[in-house]
Amino acid sequence: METPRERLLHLVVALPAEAHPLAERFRLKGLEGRGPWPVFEGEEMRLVVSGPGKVAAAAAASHLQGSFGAPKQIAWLNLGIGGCGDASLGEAFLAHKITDRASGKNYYPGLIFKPPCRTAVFLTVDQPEARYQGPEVYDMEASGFFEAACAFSTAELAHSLKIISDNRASPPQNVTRKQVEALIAARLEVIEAVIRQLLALGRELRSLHRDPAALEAFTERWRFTVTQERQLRRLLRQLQAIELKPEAARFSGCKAAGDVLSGLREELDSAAAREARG
Amino acid sequence: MFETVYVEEAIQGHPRAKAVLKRLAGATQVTCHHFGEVFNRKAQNFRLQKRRRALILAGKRGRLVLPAPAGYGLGSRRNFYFSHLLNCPYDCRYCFLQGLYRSAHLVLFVNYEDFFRALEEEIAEAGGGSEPPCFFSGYDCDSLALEPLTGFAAAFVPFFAARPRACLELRTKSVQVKGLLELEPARNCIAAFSFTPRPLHERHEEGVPSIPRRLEALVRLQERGWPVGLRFDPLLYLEGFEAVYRDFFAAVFDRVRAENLHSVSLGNFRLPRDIHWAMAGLYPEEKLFAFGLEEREGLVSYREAVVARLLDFCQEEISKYVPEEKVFRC
Ligand code: SF4
Repeated sequence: METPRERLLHLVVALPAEAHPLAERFRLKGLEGRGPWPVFEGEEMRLVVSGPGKVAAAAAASHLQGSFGAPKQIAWLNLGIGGCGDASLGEAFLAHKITDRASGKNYYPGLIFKPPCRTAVFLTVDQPEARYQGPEVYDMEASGFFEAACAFSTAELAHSLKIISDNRASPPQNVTRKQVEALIAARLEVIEAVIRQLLALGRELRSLHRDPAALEAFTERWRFTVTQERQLRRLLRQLQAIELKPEAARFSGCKAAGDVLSGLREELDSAAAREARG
Repeated sequence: MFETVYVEEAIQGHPRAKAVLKRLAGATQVTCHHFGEVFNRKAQNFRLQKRRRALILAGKRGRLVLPAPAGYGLGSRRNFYFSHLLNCPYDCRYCFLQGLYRSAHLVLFVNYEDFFRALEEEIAEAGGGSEPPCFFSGYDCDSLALEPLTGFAAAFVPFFAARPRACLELRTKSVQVKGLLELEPARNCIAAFSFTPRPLHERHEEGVPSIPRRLEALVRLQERGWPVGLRFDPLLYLEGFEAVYRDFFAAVFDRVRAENLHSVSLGNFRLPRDIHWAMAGLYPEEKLFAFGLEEREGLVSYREAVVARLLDFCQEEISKYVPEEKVFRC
């Protein structure tokens, strides 16, 4: 069962105007004294306002990860506004490929769910761009964000979603703070659909990698080295997989952690023998 | 079938890539420089990707035909394998591909003409030696599961048919035999069908067609004159395996014309250590990987006594139906 306080989604936005509609919709509260970036937190997610640019997005994502020690299975979403020559204002896009224009590096978010909007190539640029050359969505954070998020999670759980704020007919200089808020607010349904998918995936992955239920009872009682604790975790998982419930109390005669591990191994062996595998 | 297709820029114009893309016209196309950018990157999860696998169209470079691993073969000492496809659309829990690759996406190498050249060289090197070289096409994939899309058998069977000194094994758990049925049977191309008994099939082989459907496909090929093989690999342990395997073999050999079989092979469940480790990590709740296994010389398998009991029992059962010289242990 998921503990209600486990936040399995980290959101990275560049601007306060992008954050506000999200904070309202998902009831996120500002946290004080959390370093140089404003951080908001709700029941299921955290949000950081990175400021514009890929370096800022990567740094803010790392800050979020570092400050909260989130598990490996957390989902990451970079949300914000972007430009696209061919798209209408307000249209939402998920990235299926992110190209960093300065370095030429490509990134491929793993689209393992049915996207609730169109997908596109995102071109991350260092300066706001008004000369749209192709069908790409222009943004300033996705590449830095994605590289950082993949260091903490997996490409299937790291995504970038942009709402079109400027196009050929309406250049970026015209976009006001109010418009940004309105554009995001108007697309909350799509945003929420992506968030729900990511939370479900994060939850699924998390449940597989959660520490075995009995782990704490063992580590409280004996001192395991780092390697031994890894072995303990594995043995407890194996016993769990064959539906055995190892109880620390049964090993009360063991003095050292090594003896406990041997005892657990014996339990696995006898289970194998019972099925005539041994 | 596939909702996303990644395409290497360099092969976008290849006729086979174009044909595949035409068939998958509704899919999102994403270009990449090299398939490894998507397939081999570090931060990805095989288990999650299985929910919505993508197809990657690429060109195979480097060595295209490789010596088969020791113990892989059907009597010949000149065994090779080549892979036009990496990964498989099915989901067998015991499949070593899950531990071998970082990605569950399927990579289709479209430059069949380069495979032909490499195969030609290997066949020429084998010359007129006493043992014809045998080429396995289902080591990194299921040879036939994507046949309507890949046209693999349609392209490679005629190639081998014209080179009777070599043989080709098409290994499959699919029922995709329409293409083969449309071709003239080639004596040196073996359609080899893999099976596990029904309780194991139901537990461990997601997406794989039912046993009766596969037997039906096999029988149709046999009736049309194709050399057909049976592969009982891996043999998986289950309590009371004797009765399960005995009934299963009886049912299989009731349908198949045993006297016409090209070969039967059987092999125990074994995984290289690192691959086992990766698979157990992907499926921490999976009983199959959790107990009753041990490592010997880098391979994780059932204990020796169990392996011997399983293999000996199954081989003896099979020998009730098939002459000894057609049965191989892998
Ligand atoms: S059919 Fe073969 S290749 Fe495909 S998943 Fe099953 S074992 Fe692996």
